[in-house]
Amino acid sequence: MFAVSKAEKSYLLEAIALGTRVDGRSLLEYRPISVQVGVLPSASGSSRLRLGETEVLVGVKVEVGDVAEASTENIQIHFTVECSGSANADFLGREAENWSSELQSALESAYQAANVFDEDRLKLVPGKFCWVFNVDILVLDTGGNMLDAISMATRAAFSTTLIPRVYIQENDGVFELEIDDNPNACDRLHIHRAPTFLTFALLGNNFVLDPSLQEETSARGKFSVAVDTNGDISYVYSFGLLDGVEMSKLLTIVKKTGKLLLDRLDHSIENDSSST
Amino acid sequence: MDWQQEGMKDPPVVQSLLQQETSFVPSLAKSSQFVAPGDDILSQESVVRGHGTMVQGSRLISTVAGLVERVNKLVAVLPIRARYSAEVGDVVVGRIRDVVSRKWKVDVNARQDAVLLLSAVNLPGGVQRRRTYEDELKMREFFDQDDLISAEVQELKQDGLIMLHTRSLKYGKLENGVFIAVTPQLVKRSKKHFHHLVCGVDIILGNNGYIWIYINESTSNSQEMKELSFPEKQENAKSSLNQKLSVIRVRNAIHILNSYFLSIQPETIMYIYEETIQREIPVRNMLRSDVMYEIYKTVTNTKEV
Repeated sequence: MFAVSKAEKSYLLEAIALGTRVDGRSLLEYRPISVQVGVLPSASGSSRLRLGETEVLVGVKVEVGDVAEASTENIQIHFTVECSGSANADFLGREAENWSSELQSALESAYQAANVFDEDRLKLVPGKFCWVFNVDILVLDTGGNMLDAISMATRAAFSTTLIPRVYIQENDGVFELEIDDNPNACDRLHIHRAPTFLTFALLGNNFVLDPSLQEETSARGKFSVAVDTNGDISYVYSFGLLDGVEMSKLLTIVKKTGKLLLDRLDHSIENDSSST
Repeated sequence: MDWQQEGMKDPPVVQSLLQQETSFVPSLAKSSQFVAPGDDILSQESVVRGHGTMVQGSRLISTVAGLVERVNKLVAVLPIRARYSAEVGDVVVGRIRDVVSRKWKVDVNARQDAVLLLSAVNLPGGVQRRRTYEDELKMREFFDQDDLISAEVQELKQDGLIMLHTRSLKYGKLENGVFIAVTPQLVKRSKKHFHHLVCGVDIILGNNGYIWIYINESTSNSQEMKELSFPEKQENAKSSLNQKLSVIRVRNAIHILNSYFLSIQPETIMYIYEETIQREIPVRNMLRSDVMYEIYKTVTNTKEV
């Protein structure tokens, strides 16, 4: 467990009450973020993202899967989060499972709630075949606020994901799928609806965006909102004490900051993918 | 916010290591032969293999990234980033990991937790006396779990166990400040580890790479416990904010030194502190990698500190 002494915590709270954080950031400011895309040659789309000390690696693999006849879904997204034991001593043993399942379920719910990708465009054979996206997330280093980091990295990985063009032929009720011979014949996903989390920590009576590990440990409660490029909120996730919180004010902040953040993220993804 | 494509590259550690001698360059070893894991260590016929080396066939190779050190026939590689290895008399900053019978276990960034015996602390009142059972029950009142303390290395046991003591008024629990951990190799052993910087901030440079940055109430005498009128209170809050911003600026200056593997001393910290003030860089921007690199360049181009 990351440790914070009482003296450190009280100093941190005093500073936040005065409007600054112990690393100098203002209350609603992210740490420096850097992102690289296309880092894994064997994945359909991948990214590596650093948010302060937190570092994550995400790979997306695309495959065709079977679906039940009654089902209408055209895509499935499976998330797997693995917390590396070398990132943090907390990840050795049982604690890692708790972390992974928590992050996994938050991502799953956020992606489920938003109709993220244009499903009609990705249609294969309804009730027979669908696209399956396996998103493998590896946490390499922890410095707090893992949820935001992995959701941003996932968005970045999806933005570079290439889906091969598939032709469907039907012979007496038997479907045959054929992949285009040209390896460059691929489609990209539209990611503007892919949700990204913005996490706030409640310290004293103030909310701070993008809490560091120290701030997370000292916080009374935490509050994560999944937002897309339009500023639409798809999912809200909270834990701890959140009494007397002005939700509406917070959500206005989220819409504004979220849009800004995602624009900048997309911009740097574009920069990175055009340079490689 | 800062968005850099190249932001993931490691700071040019080696470059700064091999640069000409300024006090920004940490004094790790006299030699400047830098080796990476697997590199050949060029040496004479018969040598004695030391730490960080391995014999493969007829070759002597390095197992760590570091600087080659030769003492007569002994050849060893000193890793540039490693855990803290203690010496008697070192000043350290540590965090209480656990309270066990008659001793505290303290994290000092070493290979194993250090030990602070109940008999090695100054009890309140300052009288030298036997430690009673009552004292043992009150151990958590002195230092509780997670508390940060400053201490001195009293003794090193045969198996490498570090024994600490706080038997001086300058050691003890740390309050009213912020903590930052850096690479231990960057903090040089010196006569003094408690410093009062000209900007009014105090620092404790632990030999183990743990650093405490704080406002010393007794020297700055800002703490006056009297009833304040409203404008006075405002004034007080303002000065308290300014104090905090100075502390944070020092913290971020140390962070910059640490990221570029530059020696951490009061002089180097203040140099960066003054540099950022001169350039009117607000503390919140000091962690941006472009700003950090800009300062690093200025610092290493100028030879005098």
